[in-house]
Amino acid sequence: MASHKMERLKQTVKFFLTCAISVCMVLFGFLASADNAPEVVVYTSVDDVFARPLAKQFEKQSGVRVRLVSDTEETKSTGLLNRLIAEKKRPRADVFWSGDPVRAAVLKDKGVAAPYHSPAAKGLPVRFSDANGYWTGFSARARIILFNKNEVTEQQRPASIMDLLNPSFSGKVCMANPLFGTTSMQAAALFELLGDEKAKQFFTRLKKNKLQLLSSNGEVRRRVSSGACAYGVTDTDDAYTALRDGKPVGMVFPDNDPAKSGIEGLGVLIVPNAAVLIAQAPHPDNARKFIDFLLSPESEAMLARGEAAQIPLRPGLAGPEIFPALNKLHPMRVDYSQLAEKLQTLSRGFLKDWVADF
Amino acid sequence: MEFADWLFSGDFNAAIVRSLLVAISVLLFAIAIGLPMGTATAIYAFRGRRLFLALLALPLMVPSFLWAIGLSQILDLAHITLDNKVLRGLAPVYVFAAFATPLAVFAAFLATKSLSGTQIDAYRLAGSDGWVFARLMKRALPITFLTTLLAAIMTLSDPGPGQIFGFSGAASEILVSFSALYDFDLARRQSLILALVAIVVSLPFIVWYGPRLSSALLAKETTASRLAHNKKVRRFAPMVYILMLLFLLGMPFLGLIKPVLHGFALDYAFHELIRTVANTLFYALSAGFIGTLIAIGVVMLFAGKKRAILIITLALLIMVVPSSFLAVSIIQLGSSLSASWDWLFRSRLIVGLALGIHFSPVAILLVLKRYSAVSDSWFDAARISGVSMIVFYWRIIAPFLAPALALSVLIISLLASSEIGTVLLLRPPGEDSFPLSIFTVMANASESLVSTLCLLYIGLSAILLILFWHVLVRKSA
Amino acid sequence: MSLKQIVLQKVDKRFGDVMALQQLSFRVGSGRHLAIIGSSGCGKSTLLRLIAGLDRPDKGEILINDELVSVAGKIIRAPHQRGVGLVFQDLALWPNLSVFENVALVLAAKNIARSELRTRVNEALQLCGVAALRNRKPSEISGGQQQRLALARAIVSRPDFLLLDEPFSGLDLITKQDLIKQITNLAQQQGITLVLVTHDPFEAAELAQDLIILEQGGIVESGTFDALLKHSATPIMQQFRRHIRDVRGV
Repeated sequence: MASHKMERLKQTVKFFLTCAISVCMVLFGFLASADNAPEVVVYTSVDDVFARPLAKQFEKQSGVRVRLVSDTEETKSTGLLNRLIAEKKRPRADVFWSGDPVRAAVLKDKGVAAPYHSPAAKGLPVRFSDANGYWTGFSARARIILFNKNEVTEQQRPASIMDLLNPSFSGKVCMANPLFGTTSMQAAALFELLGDEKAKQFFTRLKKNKLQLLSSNGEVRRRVSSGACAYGVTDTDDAYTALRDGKPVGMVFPDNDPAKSGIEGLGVLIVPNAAVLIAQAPHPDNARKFIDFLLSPESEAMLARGEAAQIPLRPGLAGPEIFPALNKLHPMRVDYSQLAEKLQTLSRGFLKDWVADF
Repeated sequence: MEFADWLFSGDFNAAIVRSLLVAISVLLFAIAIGLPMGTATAIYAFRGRRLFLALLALPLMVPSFLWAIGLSQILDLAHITLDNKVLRGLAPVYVFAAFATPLAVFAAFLATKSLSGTQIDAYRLAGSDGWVFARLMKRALPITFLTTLLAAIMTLSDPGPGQIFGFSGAASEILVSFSALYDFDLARRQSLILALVAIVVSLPFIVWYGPRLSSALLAKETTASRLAHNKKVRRFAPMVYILMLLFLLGMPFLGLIKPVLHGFALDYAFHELIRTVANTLFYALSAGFIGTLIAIGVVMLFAGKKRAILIITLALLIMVVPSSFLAVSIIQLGSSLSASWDWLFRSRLIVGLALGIHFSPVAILLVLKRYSAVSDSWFDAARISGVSMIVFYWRIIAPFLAPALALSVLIISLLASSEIGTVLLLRPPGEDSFPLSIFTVMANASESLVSTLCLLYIGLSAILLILFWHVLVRKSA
Repeated sequence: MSLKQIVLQKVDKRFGDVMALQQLSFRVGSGRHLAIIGSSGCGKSTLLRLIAGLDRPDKGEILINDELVSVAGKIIRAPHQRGVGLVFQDLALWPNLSVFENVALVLAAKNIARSELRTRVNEALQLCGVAALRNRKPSEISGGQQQRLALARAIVSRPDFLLLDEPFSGLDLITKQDLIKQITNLAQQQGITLVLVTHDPFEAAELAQDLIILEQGGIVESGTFDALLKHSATPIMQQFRRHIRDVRGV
């Protein structure tokens, strides 16, 4: 019987291989299409709806086709940054357009980014960019406190992030998971500024004050909009979305008056976009062109006008009407290039436990 | 108290236990509901039977995050806050159950359908309707259990619902290792531990159940029995189905309806649909074909009664590997190979390949079931007649397996069409799928836009399903 | 011209610890009808599989028409090159092919012109009495018709030897008699040598001139059927003898 089985096995393998090879050949024949038009591959963590119009504009101006790969800041995926890191040996992407400088700094740490001092960066404040040119900051969001107008009176509006520890805010505040996205950046910034001990105290007391931990900034926006939660720590773009949808919400730029908290350096956390040139990018010339385009005053203006509602970093450019201009804000004193490293330490230790025990 | 403290600590082992608790709850819930429903649907006649079954496949086509969004919007409307650890664990159980219960229903349905009319008649001669029903459920249990076990194991590696409801399971921990720490080695280790634990936990069931499982899997197919009539079933079954559909589909659906009451964003939604429809279909179908091809290979190489358990264990192993882990490994491999491999590693096909591998266990079970009905003597008859093996497989085995293969392609395509993680990581630049296009706008787009996209997707899925069912039913009639 | 015969010389076949056939030697001459009887599990089917070349012997050699076709551990002539037809115990009909296709596929493998193929298939179906069912699937015809189809498939390639593995099990008496008559006629018309494997001496009596009684993988007795009917000491033949006497006594 054994010989019989062997015979059958051999025949089976032969047949299966023939089938597999022919199917593969047909499929690959169908897929193989050569296309040599000039192009640039852009990975972005900025939402597709915001990134696509800019990509279209660039295509119109330069004749270079943009192949866009979008991600989301919602925290359910493994994310594009992993793809960039995994592709490091032979990258596919030319540019990474990051929604925040922390991810850009991670790419620098991992050796995925290449330095590029764009001539188009002229006029952008240098403190929002990497000193060595591994990433360049432009149009920004800011961390704010969103509140529901039906639940919160004029007097109950917080002025500082520290106010959220006040017993009168107990059970009324929500925030996204600080292991991800801009919330994680804010956590790292607070640790940098306050020092580990004070920052840990802040987070522990926040939890004791019955903070509601949500999955994403989008969720924070939804909860505050519906009134299920009176206050939410989130970004300006979420505030813009809620207001555009006609939700009864208002916003506070916390610590814009540094005297309120009495903590040296505390202020509004500015979250600039960051453009990163990928090391060994397959289309380096087009990559530089695209970065030049992103950093131009025209792009900043577009991002300010559109649904993205970003605050331009260049002085003198008109921003979204509902937000104050950058020079009217008191930014938090923070070294953006340090945040990525800080965040990784926190994510392995304190913050991970803090989230797990919620 | 100490255990409770540990259970909700940042320890990865605790996260695994939390995930296992969710998976087991999903398993129990799905079997408790799915087994009687599937069995009853297989043997009793009632109104709308086929339509109900078709609609029940809908949750399989819809990404779990849509369910989670819907539910979270409902909770939001009702001003319910999940401020309790146990509640936060229950929400993912609900979302996962929406996907596991239909699978359990289908498994019980098919298992009971594979009994012959005379077998069922023999039961009827021996006892009351209730007793017969209980016996039939017992007969259908092994297959239902195995299918649901696969679904439960899939929940271990899906971080989506847990993330949305603030429940941190093992999949979330792996996600953190990937997305917050960018530590592939850690993620890899954690994925392996999770896989091992899942195997260790499910192996006793497999071994204990093994003989019954393989005999149920390898049972020869028989001619179908006629449907029985039972007044109670005819009256109550549609009601149960409607309740079930409301529970599984209705709640999240309502959550999605509310935002569009202020207006649809149809222009944008249709534009996105047209941009992505070809890729969505391509990813789904190529996954279906590749997964089925893998299944054919595995089954033919390992076929044999004694090896059924080996195959089942292998299937579990494949299923338990988180898809993101597989995807990142594929990217790394593709990047370390020369550009001459890009036609595979950087094409759209790689998405189908990864999804096909991920979902191949479902196909393996289906193909194994059918292949076991192939008689050894068919091969001998071919050999003695000098029929070449290629002709033999093409003319005899392939047509014989065809119904199972078609079903397998369909089911994998359904499951793959709603996958996000793999497509996000592996798609070539610019080649999005429709669920992915929803996923990438949902953070900041308006609620009505997100809901319009979701409803469009669910609606199209439902239409496709009903059309398909219609064609299938007509063909088989 | 070589003699049409099958010769087995000291053939052994084992499956794991079980010795299926042991030191088996015999010869079937041209045009003879040989029946091999024995209880189930005595190695009958294995013997047919060895002759057909579906399994290889562990020891000994097998010759067909004076040509070495199998030696220890090796198949020299592939099954389809031995001039052998086989009706399987479970018939092994290919379920998704029609009656016609089941038979035609055998010839299609032999590079025969289309028109000749059709003629020969029809001829075989006609001979076995299933020509009218040509477009049906095996599952759509009765048990007796399935058996005839299996027979048609086995003879369509005009084999020198027809091996029958319990081909009459599950048939009613009339159908069985009918089929036996048909096989006998066929064998005579086409000069086919028959090897029948069965546990039933009645079937052997109807079809065979020569008889081998197999027990636990070895030949207990062999000779012409008539001689063994008279002198056999094996329980099975004694029982058979008694039965015939009783029936005649009635």
